[in-house]
Amino acid sequence: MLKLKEVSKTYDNGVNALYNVNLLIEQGEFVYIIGPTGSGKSTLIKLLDAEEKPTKGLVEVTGINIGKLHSGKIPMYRRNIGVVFQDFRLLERKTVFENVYFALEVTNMPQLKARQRVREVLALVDLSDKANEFPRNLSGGQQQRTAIARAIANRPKILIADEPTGNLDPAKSADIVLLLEKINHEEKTTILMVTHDIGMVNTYRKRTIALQDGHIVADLTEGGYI
Amino acid sequence: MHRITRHIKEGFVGILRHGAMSLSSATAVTLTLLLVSMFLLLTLNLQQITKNVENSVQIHVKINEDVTDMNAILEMEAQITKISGVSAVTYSDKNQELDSFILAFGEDGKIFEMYRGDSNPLRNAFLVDVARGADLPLVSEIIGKMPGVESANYGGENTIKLVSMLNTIRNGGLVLVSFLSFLAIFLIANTIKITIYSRNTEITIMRTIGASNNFIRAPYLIEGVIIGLLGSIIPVIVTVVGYMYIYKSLGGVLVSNLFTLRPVFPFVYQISGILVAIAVLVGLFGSFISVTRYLRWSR
Repeated sequence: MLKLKEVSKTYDNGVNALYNVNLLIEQGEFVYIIGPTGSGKSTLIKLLDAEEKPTKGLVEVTGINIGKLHSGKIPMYRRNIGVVFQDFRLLERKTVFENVYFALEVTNMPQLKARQRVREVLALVDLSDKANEFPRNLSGGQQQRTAIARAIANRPKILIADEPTGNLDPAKSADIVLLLEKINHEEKTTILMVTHDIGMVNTYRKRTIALQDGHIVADLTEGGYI
Repeated sequence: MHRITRHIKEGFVGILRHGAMSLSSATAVTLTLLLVSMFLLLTLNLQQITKNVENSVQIHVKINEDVTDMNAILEMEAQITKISGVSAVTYSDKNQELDSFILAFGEDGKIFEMYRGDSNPLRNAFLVDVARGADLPLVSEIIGKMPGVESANYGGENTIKLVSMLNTIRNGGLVLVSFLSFLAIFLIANTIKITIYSRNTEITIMRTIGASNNFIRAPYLIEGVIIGLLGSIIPVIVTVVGYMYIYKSLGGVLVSNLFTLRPVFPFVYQISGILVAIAVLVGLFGSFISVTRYLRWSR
């Protein structure tokens, strides 16, 4: 499903972000990725999202070798990957419905089918009643749920959540994690959640991968913060 | 279909959001096209005039008095025809020469009727047409050196000089127009660049949800085309109205009947078509440069 073999990444400016990382994640897993700032978490996400190529080693997602991926094929590849960011990244001029619909529009899905799918995911994230609101009228948690709805609308095989709870209070954060669990169950989506939130990792125990200075320092199947 | 309307809508949104920039780019297009239009009107009319002049100028070849044998004359005609650049050779004997001489003097020409017959002082002659006006001097020189030829002359030397001078002006115009087109492309590219930066977040989002480069590019290309089209409105109006006015006030000719202007229709429509096509291409090209450059350095 998701395989990293002896992966190293050095940026053009000489910064080493990852050293010799080996990692295997199966379809349908829910994995936390933890670690301090500068530990290589963002680089890991950029590799998976095909934003960066590995300097060395093999990055393989859903059978596709990212290092060899031709830039023209990247858009197609990204439709297999949903990404959620800490800052939500919603289009301010579009309503909740339109924001989600937009993700399907770019994939050229027929209008009727797309609309139906939007209603489906909005129900899943429990935002059906906010469909016609603009992002600025929503709470942080609601905005993040919109972003999640957009990320999963395409039925991606993997959902990468980059500190999705970073801007939210603890109660809202728990909601988001529960929602991700629900997506993990109902849509069979593999979930990679990057987080700083010790409390959460300890409460909702899952496989946890700890990064430090570009190395994997721990890979705990039962979770818990070290 | 729905997609195309979406791209067009987004294109207009971009224009409105950067009204001042769009306007300045459109103005650059307008200025360029005004010059292109003048240039085209001049060039295409010059082409017509050059053709008229070239068609009307012939080399007049006088045959020596001692060459009277018809076979020898035919032989000479064949040789002249073989010279490269010669498009037609017409034989005109003494009597025909006198006819055209008399005709040239109109009413007063009758006085020369007394020379008809044996006392005709004129020579048998060839009238030689050449394909290109520029060949006139050379062809005339070659024929002049042929045995049995008394002289070879062509009129309209000054006319040819005038046309070649106007051609030089036209070439200068071409340089100016190309320079201005580049300026317009550059300005449009800059306008689009600013639009792109202001929509950076949007593009990032589009990239993360897997929008293809073409999907991202389309609205900007349309924006460029719209700017181009906006810039072409005034030049098209000026061309149509201006040429109609010039044609009417000059009576369809420039200076003399030799210089006939092209009729207004469909000429102005053709020019307008060319202007609009240039506007669209300049717009497309300008925005293409910007978007492609932007899309290339972000994976």
